[in-house]
Amino acid sequence: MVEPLLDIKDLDVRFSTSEGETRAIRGINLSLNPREVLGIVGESGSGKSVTALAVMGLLAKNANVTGSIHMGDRELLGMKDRQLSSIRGLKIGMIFQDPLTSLNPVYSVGWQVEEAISAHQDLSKEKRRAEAIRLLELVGIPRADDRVDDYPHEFSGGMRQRVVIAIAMANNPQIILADEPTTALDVTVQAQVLEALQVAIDQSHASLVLITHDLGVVAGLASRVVVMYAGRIVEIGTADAIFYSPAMPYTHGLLGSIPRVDDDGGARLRQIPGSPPSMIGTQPGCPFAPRCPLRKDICLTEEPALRSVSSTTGTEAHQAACHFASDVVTMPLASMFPDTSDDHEEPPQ
Amino acid sequence: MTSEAPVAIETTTPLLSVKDLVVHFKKRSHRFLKSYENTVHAVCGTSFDIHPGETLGLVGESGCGKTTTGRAVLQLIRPTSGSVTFAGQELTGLNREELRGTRQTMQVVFQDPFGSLDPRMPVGEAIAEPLRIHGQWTKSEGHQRVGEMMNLVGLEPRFANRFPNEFSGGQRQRVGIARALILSPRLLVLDEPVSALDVSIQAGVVNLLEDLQARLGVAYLFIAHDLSVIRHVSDRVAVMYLGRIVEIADQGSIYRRPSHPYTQALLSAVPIPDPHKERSRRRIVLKGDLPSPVDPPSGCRFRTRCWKAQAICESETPELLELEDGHRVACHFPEVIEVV
Amino acid sequence: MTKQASEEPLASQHDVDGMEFESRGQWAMVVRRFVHNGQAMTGLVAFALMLLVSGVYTALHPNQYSALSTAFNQGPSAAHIFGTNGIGIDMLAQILKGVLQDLQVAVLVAAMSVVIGTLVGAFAGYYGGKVDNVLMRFVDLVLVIPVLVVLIMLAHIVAQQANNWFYLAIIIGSLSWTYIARLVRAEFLSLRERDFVEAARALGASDWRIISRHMIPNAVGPIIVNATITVAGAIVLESTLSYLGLGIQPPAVSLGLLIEQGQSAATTEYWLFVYPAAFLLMLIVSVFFIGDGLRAALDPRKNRVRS
Repeated sequence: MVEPLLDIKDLDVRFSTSEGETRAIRGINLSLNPREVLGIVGESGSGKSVTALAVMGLLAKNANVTGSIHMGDRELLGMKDRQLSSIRGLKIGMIFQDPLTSLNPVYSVGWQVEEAISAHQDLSKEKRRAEAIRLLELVGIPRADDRVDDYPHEFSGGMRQRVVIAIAMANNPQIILADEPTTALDVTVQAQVLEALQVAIDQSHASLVLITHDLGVVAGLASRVVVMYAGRIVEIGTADAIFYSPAMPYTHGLLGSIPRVDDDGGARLRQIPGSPPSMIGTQPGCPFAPRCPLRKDICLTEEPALRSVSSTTGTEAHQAACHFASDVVTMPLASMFPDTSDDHEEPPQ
Repeated sequence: MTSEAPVAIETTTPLLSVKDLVVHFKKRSHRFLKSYENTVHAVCGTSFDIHPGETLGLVGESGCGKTTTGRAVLQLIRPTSGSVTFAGQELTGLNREELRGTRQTMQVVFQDPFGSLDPRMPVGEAIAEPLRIHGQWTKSEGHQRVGEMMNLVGLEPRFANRFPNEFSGGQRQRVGIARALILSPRLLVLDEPVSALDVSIQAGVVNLLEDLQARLGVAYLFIAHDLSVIRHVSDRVAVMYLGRIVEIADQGSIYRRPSHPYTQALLSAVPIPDPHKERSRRRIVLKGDLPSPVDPPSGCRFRTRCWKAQAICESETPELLELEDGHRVACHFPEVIEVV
Repeated sequence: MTKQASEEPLASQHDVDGMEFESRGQWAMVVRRFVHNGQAMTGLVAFALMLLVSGVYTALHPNQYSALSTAFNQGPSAAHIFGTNGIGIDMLAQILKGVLQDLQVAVLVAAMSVVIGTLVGAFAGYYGGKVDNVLMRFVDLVLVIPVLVVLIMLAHIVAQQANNWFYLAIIIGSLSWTYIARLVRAEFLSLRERDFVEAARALGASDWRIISRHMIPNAVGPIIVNATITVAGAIVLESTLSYLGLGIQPPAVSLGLLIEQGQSAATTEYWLFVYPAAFLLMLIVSVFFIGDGLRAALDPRKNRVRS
C-alpha cells in the first residue's frame, strides 16, 4: 500500500450563523494517493468546496473544524497561519473558480507568478523571470515572453485561468487543488484549460483534486471519484465503478438526470424529485432518503455508513453509503427513477 | 417534442421570421483625455424561422450574440436593421403601445432565477402581473387562474403569497415559467432557463418545459450555451459565432453530421459523462481567443482560429448555404466530421 | 416573547386558504431582525418614550411651557423636577414642548426630502440620458448652495412670521433632498439592469408601473434609512439655527433655543443647560440607532436563501 499524500480523518465542519448551526461537512474520511487525479462531485451545498478550503486552512472565522488532516507526518488542522503558509503554494497549489478575482489587478501576471516562486525559492531576479516565462509557456500562453508584463485585464478568462494554473504549479507542489476551475468558462475555453491542467500535473507529478459539479469533466480526467451529498461522502470508487456501476441511488439519479451530447435526446430525463436537504439541524436517517425511490423504513431511522460494495469485481475500493448498495449496484443505469412528469397532481382543465 | 414529424413543421408558415437581423451597440471608451466611440457588432445579419409548436435551439459561447438576438426578437433591444416578423406582423418600428398586443403572445423566461423575480413581490402577484398589465385581471377569476398556472408548473397554489426568497432556484424558475405562460403565448423566448440550476434540479425544469410544449403547443426559442441541453430539447439548432449563425439544421443532423469547423470544435469540447468514451475521443482544441466584436475579422469570422483557413476565408464572407436537406452551413470548405 | 410575536404571521400563512396576496412575510422578517437588534430596540424605546411623554404631557398641560410662576431660577425639586428658569417657567414643560417642536420640524423636512428626492432620483435613474443629465445638474446646483448661509439670510424674514417653524422646515426641506435624490438615482440605475425589470418590460408594463410597483419597493429600504438620517440632520440644523437666534423664536420653544438661553448659566444654574442638551443628544442618538437598525434589518443580502 502506498503512503497517502493527504489523509483526512473524521473531518467535521460547522458554521455558526444567526439562523442556527450549519453542518457543512459531517465526518469525512478520505485519502489522496501520489500522482492520482481525484474527482469530487456534488451539487451546491454538498460540502465539496468546504473540504478544499478546510485543507488549505482558508475557512471563515465562524467555522468550527474537528477531525484531522495529515500531510505526511504533519497535522494541518489547527496549524498557525504562518506554518500553513509554508505548505500553501509550496506543497499544495490552489486553483479557484473565478480567475478574475484570484489575480490581483494591479500587478502584471509575470510579477504574480514570480511572487509565488519567490515565496518558497531563493532565485536571482533573472532566473525568477525566466522561470515565470517557462511556466506561462507550459500552460499554453502564446508569446509568453512578450505577455509576461501584461496585466490580468489584458487577458481573456481562459488565459487568466492558465496564469492561475501557472501560479499553482510554480513550486512543483505535490498536490493541486482545483475548485470548479472551468465552471466560469465557455466549453471550448474549458477544453483549453483542462489541457493546460493536464500538462501541469504531468510536468509537476502532482496529484490533482478536481472539485466540480460537471460529471463530464470528471469522467475525462479523474481516476478516482468521490460523490458528495449533504456534507457526506456517499460514494467513492474508480471512475469506471462510479459511472458504470454506481451503488448509491443519488449517483444513479445524477447520471440519469443529465442530458448527454452523444444522446439523440429522444428519451426523457429521469429527474430526482425534491431538493437537497437543509443543512441546519440534523435529521435522523439517510440524508437522501426523502428523495429516494428505494426508501425503506430503515432509511428514515438509521444513517448508512460508507461501506465496501462487495459485489463489484476488480474495484477493490468501491464504497457507498446506502443500506441497499449491493442491490443498487446491479441495477441498470437510469432505471431507478420513474419516468413521471412531476410528483404533483394534475391541474384541472 | 423531438418526436414530432419534421415534415409537418416545414409545411406551416413560420410563426416567427427573423431576416438579416443586425444589432450594433455604441460603446464609448475613454483613454486619457480623449474619448472614442466604438461600434460593438453584436449581431450581424442573422436569419431564422420558428414554426408553431417547435423548438429552435440557439447555441454559442459567451459573446456570440445569442442573448442579444433573443432580446432583439422581443424588441427589448431595438435592432439596428433587419426585420422581425411575428405571426405575420412586422415588429421593428412598432412603438411601445403597438407592441403591447404582441407582448401577450410572445413571452420570455430569463436565466437567473434569483434576479428575474422582483424580491419584494409575492410569487402569486408576480404570476398575476401579466393579467393586470393587459387588463385581464378579474376579481372572480384572477386568483383561480393563478392557481391553475401554479398547478401547471408543479407549484402548490397555497404558496402564492410567499416571496421569491422562500423558494429554491428550481421553484423560482417554475414561477418565471408560470408568469410567462399565463397569457397563453404562442412563442416563449427561453434565455438560459436552466443553466443556473443544479444538475438534479435542471432535469425537472427541462421535463416541465417539454410537457408544457406538448400540452400547450407553444413554440420555444431556446437560448443556451450547454450543447447537451440544446440537443435534448431542440427540434432544430442554430450555432452562432461572433454575431453570425454558422450552421443551422435539424437537431439530429447538426449533432451527427456537423459540417462547420466551429460546430465540430464546440461539440468535441463538450465533456461526456462516460469515462471510456471521454478518454478515447478526439478533441479539437481551438487556438487563441475569441476576437473582439468591436473589430471582427473580415470575411469568415472564424478564420482566425480555423485550421482550414485559406485566402478566400479572409476576403469573402461565406454565405449560409444549404448543404443537404435543411442543413445550412456558412463555410467555404464544409465537410462532415463526426465528433460525438 | 418577541420571537413568537414576529414568527406568528409567517406560520399562519400556511393555513391561509385560497389566494390572498399580502406583503407580510418579507416585512415580518425585517421586523424580526430589527427586534433582535439590541441597539436598534434601545433607540426605538428611548424615542418612543420621549415622544409619548412629551405628547401626553403637552396635551394635558397645553400652556404650561409658557406659564409664568414666582419660582425663579430654582434647581430641580419635587414641584419642578428639572427646575425653573429666570422668569419662573417650568423647564420640564419647556423641554417636552421643545422635543415636540423639533420633531415637527424634522418630520416635515424628512417628508419633503423623501418625496422630492425620490421623484427626482427615480426619473433621473430610470430614464437616464438627457433627463438624468438635466436633473442631476440641478441637484449639483442645489448641493453647492450653502444651507446655513441661505438660512441665515432667509431667517430674518422668516423669524417675523407667527408660525415660523413651518417656514423654517420648508426652507430646510427644500435644500436637503439632494442626498436622497442621488441615492435613489444610484439604486434605480442598478435596478434598471435587473432581469425582473426587463421581464416587466417584456410583459408590456408601463413606465409608471415599473417605477411604482417594481423599482420603488426595491429602493424603499435605503430611502427609509436615509429618511431617519435626514430626521436627525434636521434636528441638528434646526437646533443650530435656534442656537444662533435665527430659528424658532420665543415664546415658542425648541431644544436649540433652550440650550442657547441656558448656556450662559451653565456653571451656576446647570439645569437650564444640561437637561435640554441631554434631551437633544438622546433624541439624535436614538434616531441614529433606529436608522442603523433599519439598515441592518433591511439589508437584502441577509434575506437570501441558497437553492
